[in-house]
Amino acid sequence: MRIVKGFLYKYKKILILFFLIIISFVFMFTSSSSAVLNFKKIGLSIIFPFQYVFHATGSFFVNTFNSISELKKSRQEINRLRNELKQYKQIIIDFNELKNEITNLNNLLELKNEIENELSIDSIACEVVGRNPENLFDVLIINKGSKDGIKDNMPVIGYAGGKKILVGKVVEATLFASKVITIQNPSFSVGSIIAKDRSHTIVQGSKKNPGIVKLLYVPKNYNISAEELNFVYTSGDSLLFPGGIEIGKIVKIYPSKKYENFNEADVQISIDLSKIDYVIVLKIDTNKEIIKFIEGLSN
Amino acid sequence: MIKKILINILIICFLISSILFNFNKFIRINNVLPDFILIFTVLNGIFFGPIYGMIFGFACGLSFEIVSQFPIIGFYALIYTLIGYSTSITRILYVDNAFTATITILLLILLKSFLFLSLGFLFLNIDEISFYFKNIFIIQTIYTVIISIPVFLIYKRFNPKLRKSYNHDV
Repeated sequence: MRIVKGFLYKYKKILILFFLIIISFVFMFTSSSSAVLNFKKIGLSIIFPFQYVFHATGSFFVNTFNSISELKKSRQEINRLRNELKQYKQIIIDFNELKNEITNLNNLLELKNEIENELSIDSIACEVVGRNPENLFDVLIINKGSKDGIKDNMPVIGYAGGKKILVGKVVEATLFASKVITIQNPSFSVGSIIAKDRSHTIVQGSKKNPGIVKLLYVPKNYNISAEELNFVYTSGDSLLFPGGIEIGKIVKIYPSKKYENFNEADVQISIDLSKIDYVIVLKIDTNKEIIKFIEGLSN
Repeated sequence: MIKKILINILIICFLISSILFNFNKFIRINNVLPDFILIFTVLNGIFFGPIYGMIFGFACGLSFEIVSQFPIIGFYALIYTLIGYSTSITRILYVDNAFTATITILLLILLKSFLFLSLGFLFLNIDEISFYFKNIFIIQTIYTVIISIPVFLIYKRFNPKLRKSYNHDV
């Protein structure tokens, strides 16, 4: 009896463990219908964790190495796609550029036909190939010259918002290119008419503000109205410029410093001269002698 | 002795209720709770001896299975019994501070996962095992290790003498 007691006391921990394990197993086998004592399954259950761990470790390394090669491939793929994207972006830019050019050319063709039908004047479309680097509004170089029938003092017009707008005149026609001074140039002046009251005025180039020219001889009683009729057109009095070509809109009136009986005004040009790409030169055959005579009169 | 049993019954009741009832949502991380039963089983084993740990683990596991309607009664009881017994390693690893306690708990979490895998292969289906390892194991391990530090310090504060006597017994 003492030996049993001593044994129990000495191994009580192990005995309690076995006792609890047995109770647990009894509970498990009695509570679960799926739990059947199968020694093969028990053996497998002991091996399974090791198998699982080995498999997981092996998979980890295999996946890691695969990931590295995949990463390299992905990087190459990303680079390839980046290049492709760059090319596509360039294509889109080119496409938009082309679209704009087509629109411009269509507008120009429309304008050319309109001029030829309405004014019965022969004209030629030209591309602006150069500008005065110091002042983008001042001087334009066009890609047509005397070879194409362009002569000095021929009027140059542009197209904006569905209307023909005065751009300037040719001052120097070489064989393959011509120099155009715009209406912004201080040496440029043209007879004009205010749409509202048909007052005859003169538009003169000015370097004061880009896109703004001076309107001289504005009647004292003229006020800017809100009815959008403050537009200025060419008068047609000149031998150079046909009438009815839009120049711009009066934005400000102020008293003239030279003449007490007249005011002066600022006119906002209806076309952005810095962005103009194509123009039309009206082939008006101007007689130099007559021009000299007119200039002499105006002086 | 009765006082000790009562305290442990209260701890078990608290553990089971904290695991099973809805108010634990405040302490869930990604729907995972720390393994409180394991923490208390291990700490009981460390402070009061492996026999005590075994019995506590067995009682906790069994209560959990009964209350939670776990399909197999005795599964967690067996796991926590073996974990309670495994606290005998504190003979080798002298657990006197939070760091060593954390290491012990980490080792016993790994043991629990091993037991879960082997016993689970016998009694559970493979989906339950893979769900545990895919969605619960890592978060629960980290969370349990972190939570075990303050619990150990509380245990140590309330049971310094018992710890000492246990060391002498060993």
